[in-house]
Amino acid sequence: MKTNSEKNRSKTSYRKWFILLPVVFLLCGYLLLFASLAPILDPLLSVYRLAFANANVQTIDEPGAGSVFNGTTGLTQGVLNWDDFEFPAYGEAFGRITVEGTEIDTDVIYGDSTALLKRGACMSLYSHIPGCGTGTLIGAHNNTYFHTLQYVKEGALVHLDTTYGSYVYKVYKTAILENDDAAGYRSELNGDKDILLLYTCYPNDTIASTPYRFFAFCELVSGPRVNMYE
Amino acid sequence: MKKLASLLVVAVLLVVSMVPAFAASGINDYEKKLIDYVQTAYVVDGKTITVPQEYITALENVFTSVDLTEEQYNEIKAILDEALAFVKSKNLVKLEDITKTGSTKTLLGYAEDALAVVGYKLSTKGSLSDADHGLLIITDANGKVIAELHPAVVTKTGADFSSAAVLGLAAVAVLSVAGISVKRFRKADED
Repeated sequence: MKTNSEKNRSKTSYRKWFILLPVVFLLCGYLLLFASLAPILDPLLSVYRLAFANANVQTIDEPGAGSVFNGTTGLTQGVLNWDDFEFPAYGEAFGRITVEGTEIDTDVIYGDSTALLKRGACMSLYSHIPGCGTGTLIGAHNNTYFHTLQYVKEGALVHLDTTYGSYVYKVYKTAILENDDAAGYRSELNGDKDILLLYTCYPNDTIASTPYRFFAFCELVSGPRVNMYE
Repeated sequence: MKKLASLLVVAVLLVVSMVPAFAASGINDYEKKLIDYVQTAYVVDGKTITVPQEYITALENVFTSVDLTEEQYNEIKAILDEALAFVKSKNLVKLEDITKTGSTKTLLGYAEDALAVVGYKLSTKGSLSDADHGLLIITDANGKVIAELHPAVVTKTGADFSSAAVLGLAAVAVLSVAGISVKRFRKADED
């Protein structure tokens, strides 16, 4: 049998939970709402910022899943010297890529940090922008922007519109490489031909980290040359 | 480790070459001379030791957003000479020797000193030994990111489950609280 003082203590503790529990549930509820609505809110917030913040480029401080690519000059040939165009800024959506035979149709971001990879296909700073006469390395997540990259066939055309020109590439081979197998892509990345290397983690739909990457190697069909040197 | 060492070397070379980004341009003669320096200056027993081409590419990319003057070139060259002397004194022939000899901090120190001259800052995010998520971040005086480099050239592009993870965590938290509460209320009722 409980004494009166024990009963009173128990009642006080009981009442305390009537205050604490709603607060805990409220916080957890907001957390759930935030996590579940974030993918929807991000693009909306991005559009809002673009409309009202007078911003003309997407930067790392302005996350969002919607396209913010401002369009291309449409230039398909010729030579662009360094003062003929504006070099992309870090975090800027400087292009838009589509790949035949897949559902890939996404912005291309300059830089490839974890944060940027949430926003689109990302160009590595260890590679050159398209048109420089060497390799361009672009990667994206396999459950979002490059989900269908593995279905690309040899011969498919890749359209890459950038702020300074429009490029067309043709897929000439695909390969599955280990992430540290630099020998598998280094000659294309650092060679003297305009090669576009698209990659994503492989296989798709694996929750655990995978060491494999699916690569699509694409050769230039058309697009302006770029001269980075003064 | 090799990647980390490579990244640190290029970080030093990269950041000592920084000037404020308001003078965007192509790669000029002074910048070209610095790139040549990076590619050819370190010679051991007649053999030139260079950083991988991907890191030279990163250097070129950064040079497109700056415009180096002769004075700045000379200043940077002096710092590079000093860094090179240190590297030679430690006999850092292989890139992994940097970590083996504990030279990481000193090399980053060169980088930070050089950055301070031009008003830039260097910071890291995560562990640089994490090839996919470790980041070396260069920012200008206003905190704007100029470049972020992770050790891996080909980065991790697996499924992005960050949102799902938060969602799952929240669900687990709610269920746990609910379970504990039910147990407590039952116990209180029984009493």
